[in-house]
Amino acid sequence: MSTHEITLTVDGSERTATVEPRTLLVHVLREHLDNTAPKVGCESGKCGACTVQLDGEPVKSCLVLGVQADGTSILTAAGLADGDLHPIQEAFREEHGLQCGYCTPGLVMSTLDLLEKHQELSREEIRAELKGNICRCTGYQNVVEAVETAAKTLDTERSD
Amino acid sequence: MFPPQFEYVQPDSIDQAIAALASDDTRVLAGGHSLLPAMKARNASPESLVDIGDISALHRIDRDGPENETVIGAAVTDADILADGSLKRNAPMVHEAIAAVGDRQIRSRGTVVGNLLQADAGADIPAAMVAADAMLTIRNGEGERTVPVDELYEDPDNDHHPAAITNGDDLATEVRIPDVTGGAYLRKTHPATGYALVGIAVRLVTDGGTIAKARVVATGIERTPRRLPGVEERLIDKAPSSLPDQTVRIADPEPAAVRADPNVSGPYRHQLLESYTGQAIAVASDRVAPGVVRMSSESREAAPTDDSVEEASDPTRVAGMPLKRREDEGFLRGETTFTDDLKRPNCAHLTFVRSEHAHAAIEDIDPKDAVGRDGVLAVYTWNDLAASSSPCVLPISTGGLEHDVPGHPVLAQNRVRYHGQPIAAVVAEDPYLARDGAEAVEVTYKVREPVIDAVEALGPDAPALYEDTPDNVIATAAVGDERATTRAFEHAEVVVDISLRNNRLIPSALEPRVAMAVYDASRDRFTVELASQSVHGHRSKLAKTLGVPERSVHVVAPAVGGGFGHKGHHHPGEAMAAWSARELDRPIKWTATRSENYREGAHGRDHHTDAELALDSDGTMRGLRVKTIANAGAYGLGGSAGMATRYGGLLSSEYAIPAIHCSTRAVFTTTAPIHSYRGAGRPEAIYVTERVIDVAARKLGIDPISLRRANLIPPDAFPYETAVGVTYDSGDYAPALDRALEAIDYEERRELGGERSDGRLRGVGVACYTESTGGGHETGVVRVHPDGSVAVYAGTHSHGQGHGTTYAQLVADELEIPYEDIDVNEGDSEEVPTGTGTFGSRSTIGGGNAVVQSAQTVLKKARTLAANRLGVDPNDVRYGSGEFFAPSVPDQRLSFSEVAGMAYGWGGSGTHRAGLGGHDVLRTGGDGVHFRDPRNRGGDRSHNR
Repeated sequence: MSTHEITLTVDGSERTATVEPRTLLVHVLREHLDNTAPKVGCESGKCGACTVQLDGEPVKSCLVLGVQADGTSILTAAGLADGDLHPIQEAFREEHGLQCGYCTPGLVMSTLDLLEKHQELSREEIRAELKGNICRCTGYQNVVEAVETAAKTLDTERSD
Repeated sequence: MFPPQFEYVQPDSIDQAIAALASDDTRVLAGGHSLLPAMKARNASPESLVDIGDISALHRIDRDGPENETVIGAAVTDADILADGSLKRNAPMVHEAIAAVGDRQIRSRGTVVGNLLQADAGADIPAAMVAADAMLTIRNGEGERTVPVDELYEDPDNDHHPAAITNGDDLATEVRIPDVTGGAYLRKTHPATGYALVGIAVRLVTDGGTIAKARVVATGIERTPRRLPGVEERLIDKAPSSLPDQTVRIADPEPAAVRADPNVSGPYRHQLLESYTGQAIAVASDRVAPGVVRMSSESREAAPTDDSVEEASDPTRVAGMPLKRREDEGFLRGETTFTDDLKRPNCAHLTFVRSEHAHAAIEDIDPKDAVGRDGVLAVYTWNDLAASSSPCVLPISTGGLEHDVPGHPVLAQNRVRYHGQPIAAVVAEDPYLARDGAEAVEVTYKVREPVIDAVEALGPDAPALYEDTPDNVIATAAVGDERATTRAFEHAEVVVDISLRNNRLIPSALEPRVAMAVYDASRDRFTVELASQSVHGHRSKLAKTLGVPERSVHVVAPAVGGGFGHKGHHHPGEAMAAWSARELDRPIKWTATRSENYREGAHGRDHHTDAELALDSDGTMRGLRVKTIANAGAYGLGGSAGMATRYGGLLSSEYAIPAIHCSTRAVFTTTAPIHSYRGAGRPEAIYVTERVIDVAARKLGIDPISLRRANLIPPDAFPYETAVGVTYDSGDYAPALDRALEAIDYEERRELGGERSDGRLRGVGVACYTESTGGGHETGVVRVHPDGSVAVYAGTHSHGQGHGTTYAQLVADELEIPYEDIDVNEGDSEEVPTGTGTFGSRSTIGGGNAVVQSAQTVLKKARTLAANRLGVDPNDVRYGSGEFFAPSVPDQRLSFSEVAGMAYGWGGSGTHRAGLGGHDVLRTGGDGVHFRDPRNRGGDRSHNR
């Protein structure tokens, strides 16, 4: 089978990889480019642990081929903040919105998209909008708290 | 889950795409969110994919045409059109259906046209498009044609959709959606699959104040969208204002004709259809005649305000302070290392060929097509394992059973006894190639009759899993006094009974099981890194499976992504990885897929129970008799065979029941092995007791809370030995019950109970729970470095519990030093001599007390050193706020770190005794081992067979 050389911008750095057409983006990131922030929980698009932003849109990187992502820009949880935690990460920490931490990089990336596009969300809306991310530990209560807290912080930052 | 190999083409234009599609066995790749999962599951394996994502003409969203319509190109994603807003303004029904698809991430990639063509059962967009009379444009090498969307679904039995795509080079290029203002789409979503159990698109067109045209289209009830002409006809000529929100009777299809699936029965789906059709009609009516009708939305009950009583905490103690967890930053940045994140040079990858049958003899395993494949390093079967020095059978600890239970062979020994049992192992250069290799291994089975249900497995004609266990019974056990219980029932004024099924559960930590094994031939030593709740448990079990001494196995668990029990058990994966690492002299990684995790187990529960409760007519409990048949699965795994037989020890819960007898039979079936899952025996017991009490309350006409309250063990009865031989040291249950009832507004909720106007029933229930936990020994080590900073080690292992924070808090309080100066380490079998692990809510009780005890030992030894320096008797040394002092030497104080340095011989002026090696003084591993009293683990019981 043929291989393809693809070029991606991952967390701000341009990277290349030689991959088969079938190589999934999550494996390009984890195996070829050593970025293990996106996790593999189900490989079938259900759990959302592998969520990254692809050209600004949240995607499950186990349902995208590496070749489809050629030329795109990928943001992972590892690239969200350089120094201090991003306000979303800080809010998850503050509200104890994680336990084992395996789903967390994906949840953080989905929350990023959610709060980039919506400023005011009810608790029911937060739950509905994050349904693409499964967490087995928290029961989601504190995840919702974290998203609400992050929304407030980001809102304050915007108005400052 | 990896796709098979294929060729990939990414054309720039529609014509190029059509040309590429003309090749045989080629599929269009748009969003790929149906196709890629299908390929991973091997439900599709096209030779090539034509990615239309780069064709700009297919990305158009257009309202410029002469018709009042929105044109959506085939590469437009759900997120694109939702953000564009054209449909929200011009066809809200279709907009709502698109917004209902999947989740945010799926809508980022999934395309509108792709969803229309894929038309999964329960898909949203097709129903709305049919209701909207949308048209699909299809092009091929010969030209272009336009077909009504509903023609795509004309043959509902045809699983290869869409029926209208007839030519190999047909490319659906766009869908045209007429403006439809009077429409609505509502759905009842299945919480797990995300698909509609039932979705309803309703479109109403009025003329002169009455409905002239109606489309009512349901999704979910059949394989493809279905119009409901009977409902449509009844709407014609009606004024929208006359259509209230109510259940609409639907005669066609009848309930029996509605699709049933494992999630929902046909009749229930039909009930949803009637309810949601009524609601959707109401919303659509409101849109054609605004303000007349409102969709009745169930007024949500206000969430109970969180006014739980704040416990007064001691402000001087770190334990109990609401600290941010120190573990979290690494998780949030994605930097913390889980086992699957590990890389080792020259690492090869292991995967399994698993049984496709629940019960079969293996007649032949033919690996030759796999062995010759690129990148495949080895294919192993049982014969290879049997020829090695290792037993390769996962060890059993029966916990007192008086006979041998067959252990689980790492690879099947000529017979498979559950679907998914490993038959062969394939090692390759990468996981994709390993999977390809596994698929090339041919297994010939002779299928035998399976038996899934434990009760059926006891039947006279049931197939026997093992020749020497013809009745399939692994173990029988009894707890409690049978004669006393019989007497209680003989004299009972009231007896109630209930049959219960505590269903099988699959532990689903988000991180699948995973292992990385390295073998060092020079030392004949394995290092196995794996997702484990108990590194010492895995060390012992791996050593037995591999047939090597425990000193030759080093087990390390990096961060663990959830456990729920199954990561405490020993499975074939880590054993096979270690065995292969020795065989090939390379690091071997094994990562389970989600479905392997499901298929292999260990699963939880699966009990059939008959329970009887004997009472006086005033509700006083006299006796409880329980008979349980526990499904054990196909093999004993660790202590699984004995676990079910011990569950009766909690049946008394918090009730004073004078006589209890519980008999249990654990039974082999051709299913994945059963072991502990979340609570491991306790929820099973509590379920039985609480359910039978509710049955008694109903029969006696006594409020279920009052019946419980009247039978609580009174506070002056402690220590209280239950009828199943467990002694409770203390308890005061009535106030706890009162607080629980207050927290849920029990009285108010009870008054709201009963049947509501829409036919739904509402009730409120309460269950009480007594926990049994903290069993087994645990190790806690506190080591003080010369600078006074502290490293804590424990035999437990956090997988979300946050021991790194908790143990540091506990030790900070004992040593009165800053929390920040304390580091916590777990998950390495060589850092502490032994340990039990983290499961069953035991860690803070076992590990927490062990580290506290070790800290106390440290302090005691430090006090001796301080006494030497201060020249006083150790009994006169005081310690407070991190300083040692003695009243008789008021001008001298020694900090904790100074004393730590002294222990290593630093800063000493000859006052410390030369015989005190500092490191030994403060290294208190042995002193910190904390043994828990095991007497209460299961009570007085006997096992026999």
